[in-house]
Amino acid sequence: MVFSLICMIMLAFSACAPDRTGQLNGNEDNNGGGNGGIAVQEQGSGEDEKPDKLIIWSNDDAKHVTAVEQLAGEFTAKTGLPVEVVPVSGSEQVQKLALAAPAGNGPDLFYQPQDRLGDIVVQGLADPVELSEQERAQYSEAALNAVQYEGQIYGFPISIETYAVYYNKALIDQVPAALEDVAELSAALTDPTKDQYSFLMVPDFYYVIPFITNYGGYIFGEKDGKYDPADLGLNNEGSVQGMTAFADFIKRTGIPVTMTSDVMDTLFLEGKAGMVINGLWAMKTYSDKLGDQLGTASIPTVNGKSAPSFVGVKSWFISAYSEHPSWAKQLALFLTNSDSSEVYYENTGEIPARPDAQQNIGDPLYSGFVQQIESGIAMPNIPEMSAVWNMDSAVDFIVQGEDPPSVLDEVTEQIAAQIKATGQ
Amino acid sequence: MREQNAVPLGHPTPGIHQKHRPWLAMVLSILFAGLGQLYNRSYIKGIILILIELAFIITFSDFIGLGLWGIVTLGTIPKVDHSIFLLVYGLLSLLMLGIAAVIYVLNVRDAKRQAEQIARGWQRPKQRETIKQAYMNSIPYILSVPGFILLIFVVVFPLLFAISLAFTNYDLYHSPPRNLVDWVGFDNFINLVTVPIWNQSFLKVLSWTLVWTIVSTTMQIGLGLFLAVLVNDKRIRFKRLIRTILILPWAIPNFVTIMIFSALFNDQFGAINRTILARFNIAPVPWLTDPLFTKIALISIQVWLGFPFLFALFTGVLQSISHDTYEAADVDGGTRWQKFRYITLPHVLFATAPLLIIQYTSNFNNFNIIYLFNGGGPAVRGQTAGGTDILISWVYKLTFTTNNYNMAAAISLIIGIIVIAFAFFQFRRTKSFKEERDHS
Repeated sequence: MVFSLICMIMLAFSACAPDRTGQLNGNEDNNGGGNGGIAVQEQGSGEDEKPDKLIIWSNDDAKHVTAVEQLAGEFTAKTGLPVEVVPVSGSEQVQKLALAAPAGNGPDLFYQPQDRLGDIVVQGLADPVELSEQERAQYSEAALNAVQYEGQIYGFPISIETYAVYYNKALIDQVPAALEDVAELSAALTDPTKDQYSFLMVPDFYYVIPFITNYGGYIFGEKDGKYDPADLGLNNEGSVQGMTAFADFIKRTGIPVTMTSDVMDTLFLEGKAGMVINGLWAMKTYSDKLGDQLGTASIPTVNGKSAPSFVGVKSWFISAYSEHPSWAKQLALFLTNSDSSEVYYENTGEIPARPDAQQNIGDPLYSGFVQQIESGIAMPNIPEMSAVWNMDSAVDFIVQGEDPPSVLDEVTEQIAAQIKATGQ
Repeated sequence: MREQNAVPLGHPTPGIHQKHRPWLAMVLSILFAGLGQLYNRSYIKGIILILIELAFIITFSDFIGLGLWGIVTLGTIPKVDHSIFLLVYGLLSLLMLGIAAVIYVLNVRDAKRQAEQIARGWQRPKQRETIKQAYMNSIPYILSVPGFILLIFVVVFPLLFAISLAFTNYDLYHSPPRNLVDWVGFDNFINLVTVPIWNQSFLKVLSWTLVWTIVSTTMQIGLGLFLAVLVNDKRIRFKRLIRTILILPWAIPNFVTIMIFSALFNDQFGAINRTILARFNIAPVPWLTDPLFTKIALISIQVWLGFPFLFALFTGVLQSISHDTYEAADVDGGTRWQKFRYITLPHVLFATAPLLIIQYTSNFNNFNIIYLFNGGGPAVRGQTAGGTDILISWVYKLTFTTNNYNMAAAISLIIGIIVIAFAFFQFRRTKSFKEERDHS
């Protein structure tokens, strides 16, 4: 009886949908803006009423918060517009935004690496921004490409991140020009029984990508300037050749197949490894321990071509739910201008996404990375990329001596199946 | 007022009130909570119930209307309706309606029962007496209701939410605010057994999960019990010191221990291959690259992590066993084994069975150790799960990196059912719970 009562009440109530005519009209305006946020942007700051304050979600790392707070203070001093800096962990921002923004508790600006851009756009959390020719020109080409999704720019690049070669000057005079030459160096330097290695890298797909691309493989094909997730190039002839070459390289250089970044760090810090491939994040640990002995360089050529590393770009995005997008845009431009970029670099040690700020970096250790960025490729920012990391197992199998073509076919099939299962 | 016509005005006459009709009281209180009580002349109770219902309708009707509409449709206009919010509102509305329904049923039953009593000639005690009695009767409910309501919203509500997601298409491409979530019935479960990336690995993962649970938990219980009995022996000296040392693995945060073990077991650089096995001239063992050895390593680590708690638990129980029973056994000429088998073991198992069951169920979902030790690896050709992935870590890999919340919810539901079934079955068979029932 109780049940039928509940059912009756439920039916009665569910018949009455909430009246949302007012809301709906307001929203259609917003949607119009979505086609581009251009329409909104072009109205310019003149028409957008000056808000009481802007809210910005910074990464919750202390270094980032300090930098952003300082810059926000400068912005307030310049424009008289208060900025509230809220530290929110970068890895949680998208999830929180999806709940907070529609409820009106979201920020005007938020912070994300560009490889989450696909997730952000698919969930409708950010709108494209319109940048003038001048505004575009200040960012490096690679950074600007990375924050584009389906041909439109969404973000304001802050910093660029990649990996390159660190070397110990006490062991290595000069990093060889070609990665293939490294193996010859190994003959003299590598002695596994004494834990001596000329060259170390972690056999993960993230670091192996130069071998894929330089032999003619690719991750996603491109169609009309967009990534095509149906076109996977990870088991084409080039990828097979590249992975075969990589297995051979690992074997000849004597890199242990179970190398992990912890072990690699330890060996390098103890002066037992001549060169390692690692990201910018390791710089502080390395330079604290090795001091002047530490040098950096771009990755030696693979198959005679400069080796592209994966490049990540951290950026500011304007929330699709911001009520003051033009002011948010001003703030984002301010936060990524030349002076701000230097402040940001000094606080965080991250390489700015602007060529002018990159040139002002005094620290010679950064030269290898700045050079590496030039040949870097943006990590695909479509959501399907998350399935591609299954390639890690393919790399594992191949370095352990299994047959590259069949392994790559198998894993590519799995990736395709997973992309399919993700829906769309 | 019609009920006043039904019952003569003035003081209720003693004796049997043939004319007081229980069915009328019932119908009245169904029409509106409290009316039946008014008819029964319980004015205070009646007015309170009427106020409660009015307050409920005035306060919650909008919310419940939106919630019920929301949970049925999950929103109709993208970017305006937020499906997840609507689902939450809907579940809350259902819970509130459920609570209201319970109160309503109680109200109807109360009206009917009281009317029956009046019809049988029950004398209403004085007001003060009534209040006192009502207070005495309701105090257990007053004390437990807040906790119960908290339980509903803290435990039942999130559970319902997770279960609901298993029947939706909540993935990246159906994520609010831009898109809406829809109900899809059992599609997720059907996909689980028909789509290759799911069904290829499911059985393998499930069987390893079961082996992992049973072997690692049983071994940690066995080791804990063995050491507890040993340390409890009268002839052992420095008991406190030994106990402290044995409990140490428990004192270090799990994840730290696991990471350290992960380094120790490294094939080329770990101390186990390099220092320990090399000393005995044993060739390096592929701890992290061969699924079988990774499994052995994982079980050993889990035994190391898990035994201190059980050791402490068993030690406590052992100390509470009276010496008299052992002395009696000695007099009867019982052997050491017999004393263990017929005195120690029943005592210990009797007292700890529920906790042991919890050990099994928590190992079934022991995500930390699998994920931190080797990320579920090593990879195995031809399947999406790594060689040591258990259900929960496999779900994590396949869903959270790709935002397949619906599949995660569906598999979690299956895991939940397995664990609940196991726990329920075991609890039912456990003596300590039966005993409690007998005493109560």
